[in-house]
Amino acid sequence: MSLRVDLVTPEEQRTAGGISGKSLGRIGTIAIPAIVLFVIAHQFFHRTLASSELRVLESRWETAEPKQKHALSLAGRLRYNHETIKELDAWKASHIAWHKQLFAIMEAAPPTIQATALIISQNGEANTPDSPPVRDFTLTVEGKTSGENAMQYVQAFKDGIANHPDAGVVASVDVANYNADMSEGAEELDRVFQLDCTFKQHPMEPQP
Amino acid sequence: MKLPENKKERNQILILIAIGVAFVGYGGYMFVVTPFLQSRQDTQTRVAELEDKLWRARQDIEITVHNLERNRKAVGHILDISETKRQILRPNLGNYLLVAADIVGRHADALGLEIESINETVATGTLPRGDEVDPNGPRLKAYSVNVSLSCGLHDTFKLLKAIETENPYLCITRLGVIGRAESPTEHAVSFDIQWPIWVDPTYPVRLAAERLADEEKQ
Repeated sequence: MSLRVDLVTPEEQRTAGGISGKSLGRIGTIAIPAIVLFVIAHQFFHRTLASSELRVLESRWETAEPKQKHALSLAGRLRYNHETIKELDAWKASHIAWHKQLFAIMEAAPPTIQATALIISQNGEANTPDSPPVRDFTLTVEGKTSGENAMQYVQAFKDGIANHPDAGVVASVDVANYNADMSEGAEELDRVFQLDCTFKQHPMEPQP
Repeated sequence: MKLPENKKERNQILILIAIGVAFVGYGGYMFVVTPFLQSRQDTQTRVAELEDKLWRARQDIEITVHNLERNRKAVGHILDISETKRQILRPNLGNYLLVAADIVGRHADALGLEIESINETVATGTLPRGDEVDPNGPRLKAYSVNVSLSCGLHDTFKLLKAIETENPYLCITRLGVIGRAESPTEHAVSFDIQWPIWVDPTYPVRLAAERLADEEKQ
């Protein structure tokens, strides 16, 4: 049988560690509210700073906003006007200087050829929904010639048109018709012919 | 204040205190901490948003001077073509035909040619010709006239040259030169001229007003 005699009252008891549970409790009652207060103060401080920053930024924005609106409106006008210039350039680019083509045809005609009709027609402005409108022209020359070499005259005329330095927009020249002249008063070696010229398509878009 | 000596009573009081603390804590969290944190979050979001807006505004404002100069040049170019050189056909009291007739007549007179008739034609194809003004649509549409006269081939070409050289924006869209048996030097000539015209005829007027306003601001 063993007997334990405890002569230390609970108030006099000490722990074996450096800090007693009671001390921890006391420290906790001071430290925890202090930490909470510090966190709250810190949050308030930051909130005050953010609010003051917000006021400064709002005041700056009040000044900057109308200036930006003006700048954006100007940029919009500029964009619109540049698109207009592009459209103007497209009209210019699709223009064919017909006088140059026609003078070239006149120069290419051998003296033995007599043109009786000259017709330029536009084959619509064909386009697809995604592509710009296109100017697409055909030129028809009807004429007469005579003699045993009539075919060569017509051929020379055709080659002259195709190879003329000012006829750079001609895509092709074909003899569409070559026949004996059946009109009244025509002689045996008189011939009538028709040349069809197609031109390179001119899309209505600005040149790069 | 001292807790009661009785263990049961002391525990009850402690439980009540704990419940009270929990309620106060929950109330504080719900009605103080959360709104406070939310308000702080809102402020920070607004600050970030304003900083971004101000950054963008600075970028936009910085190029204003450069854009003003570019716009001045663009407007000058358009007005030069439309109003000074009149290469975009401009109406006279709403009438385009009179102006077109004047242009063709002036060139014909210079070459000693007589125009027999000038008429408006109904243009075909896909070039814009609508009357509605769509701000995102084309700025220009086509206006065509048919010109008829009798003259030699060379004079016809000279007339076309004069018309085309003066205005590189118009286009001869049809030409017919038919020889006449009774007068070999005089042919029946007919051709169509297509001018660009403004879809919105007030556009150049607006441009001129804008240019004036911009110049006054500077």
